[in-house]
Amino acid sequence: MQYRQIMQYQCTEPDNVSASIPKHGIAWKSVEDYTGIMSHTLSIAEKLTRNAEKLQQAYAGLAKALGVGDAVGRERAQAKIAEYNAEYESLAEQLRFAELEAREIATPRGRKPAKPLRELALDALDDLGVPAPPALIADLTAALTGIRPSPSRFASLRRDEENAARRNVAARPAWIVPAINAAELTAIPRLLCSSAWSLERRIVGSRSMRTDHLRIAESLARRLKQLREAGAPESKNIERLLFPIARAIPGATETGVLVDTDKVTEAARAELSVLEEADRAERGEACARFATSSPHVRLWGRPVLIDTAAAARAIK
Amino acid sequence: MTPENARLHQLRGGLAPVEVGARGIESLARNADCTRLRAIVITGLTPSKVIEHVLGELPDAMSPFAMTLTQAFEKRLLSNAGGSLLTVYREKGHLDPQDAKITNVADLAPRDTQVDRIRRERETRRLIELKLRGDPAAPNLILKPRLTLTIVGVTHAIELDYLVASDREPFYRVGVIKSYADRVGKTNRAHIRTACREASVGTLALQQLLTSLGQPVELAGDRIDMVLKAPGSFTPRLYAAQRAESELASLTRALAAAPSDLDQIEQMLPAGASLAQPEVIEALPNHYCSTCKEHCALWQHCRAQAQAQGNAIILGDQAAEQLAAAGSLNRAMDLLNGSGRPPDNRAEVVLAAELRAASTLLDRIANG
Repeated sequence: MQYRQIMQYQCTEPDNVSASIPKHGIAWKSVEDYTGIMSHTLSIAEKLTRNAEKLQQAYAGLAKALGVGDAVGRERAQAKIAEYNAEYESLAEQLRFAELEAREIATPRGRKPAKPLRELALDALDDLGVPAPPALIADLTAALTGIRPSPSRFASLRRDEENAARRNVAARPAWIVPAINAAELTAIPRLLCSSAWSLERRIVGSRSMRTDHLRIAESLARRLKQLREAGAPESKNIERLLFPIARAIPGATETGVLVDTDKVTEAARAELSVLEEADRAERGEACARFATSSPHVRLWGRPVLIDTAAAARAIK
Repeated sequence: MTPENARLHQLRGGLAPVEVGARGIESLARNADCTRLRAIVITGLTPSKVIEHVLGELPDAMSPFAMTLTQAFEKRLLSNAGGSLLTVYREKGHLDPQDAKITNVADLAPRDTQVDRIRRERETRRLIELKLRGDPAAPNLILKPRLTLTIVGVTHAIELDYLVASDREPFYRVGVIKSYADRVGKTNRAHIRTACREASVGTLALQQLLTSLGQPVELAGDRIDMVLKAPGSFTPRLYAAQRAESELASLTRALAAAPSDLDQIEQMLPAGASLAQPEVIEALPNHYCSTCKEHCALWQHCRAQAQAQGNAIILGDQAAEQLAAAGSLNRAMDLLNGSGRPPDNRAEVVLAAELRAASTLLDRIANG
């Protein structure tokens, strides 16, 4: 009886160990998967070795058939070479995927390399639909994916994007670009947008900070509604993100009550209806002034002019 | 470099200037008689920088709790396109629903570089000019504007919390955000005065800008806006168009004396000496008072000097006032004990009698 109990403990030990492994370590299950995949990759490698040997034999047969002028033997050898080559292609692909998969599982769960920052930013921007500050992009990414990129990284990202686009603007379908100030047509580095958007959408006029705020509230409310309907756990994160935004819209929230998405949308639309026309006219006017500018200037704004006289007067 | 800049550079003795900001300039008005503080601020240094780089000591650091609270409250008001601030103004009826034009100057040039700082100044000036021209695109709220205040021929930059004006109003008022708990009539008066004076520095800068643009100074007015925090929460409470004429007057007086002070400071220092030398700092006359610890990092040094000189101010403002006739603590002790030379005048006779009566009373209370 005692012996059986000990055996049971020993048998159940791996499960207990896996349960007790800290959150940020490599989970026991992952280790098992990793070792399983490793054996899987080894068998593919063996198959590839065998394939290489068969190929060598087929090439030897081809050389022999060519030497004796055996046309039938040559055709048979050529068919085998084609077959083994196809098998090689397939096995090589399988091996590549297996290796990639193994590398991903071996990485601790919390630090798994996710999408690149620019992809995350573009996804978040497409969700928001209007120019947004890095902190909001980071918060939305965190709410939806659980990974929060540091907002301080966006400044260097924007500069990298500009440098890369200078070399070849057609290299990527969309770039992360700054919003454009409607008055001076210069860049607003703290507000980011996607180059795939129309110019009018990337321009920030005097009312745009407010109208964009209202549009952000509207798009987050829409997203929250979808997530709530689907019963997704991310809805809590989006609600947390939406609340301070909605609170700054009169009539959008009530104290002590869950965020009502319809009410937020309604309040945002009501205020937008007052401001939208003037905002659009101002953006349109700025667009017209941009008409003759080069594509690069239309994406990154006009260069900034510095008042050197003011610099001389400043305390130094 | 302007001639004044060259003079200030010489006075700093190689130390890089720091932006003293509205808070630094406001501190001048708090203790207008302190030559040491004026010399430090006018040359583009701060008491903290002097403590750290000249005296080689660790300056007083702001409480991390207070700093976190202040930053969080400011962030709450200014983030999300200044939505919370706009809502407070709308709720109080100071801005209409159409008054939704907001610009954050810091968004345009966020870095702490010379180029970005100048760009922020230029953008602030451009936005103010829009308002003066009556342009319908002029913002109702300018967040984080950067203005300049010229003292002794060089410009000192000040970054304010915000400027506000509805479309109906002709010009902007300066607004300050403070995380002080608003207890209505029981709010600490010193806090309110500090906030008013800080905002008044912005009003002075607006006045200078209006003068340079050939506009009447009266447009800047003498009213300021203040946002405090409701106790125990981050709910903002707005105090709009508060009268700050006395704060403005005290600042104007303090700054009006500044040009002669630069000459005075240069004359006070030995040839070739600068504020980068500890002995020069110690030699500059100070005016220690009980409120110095609220705004000046050098207060401990000044208090130690006052103590060594037997200055009655170290016992507090009331004691200093009562012992004014004696001039020093040592002389007050002589008058009390009847030692030293006899009273010089009628005031000393009265003080000696009062001190003896107080001493007898204390003795009776303490010893029965």
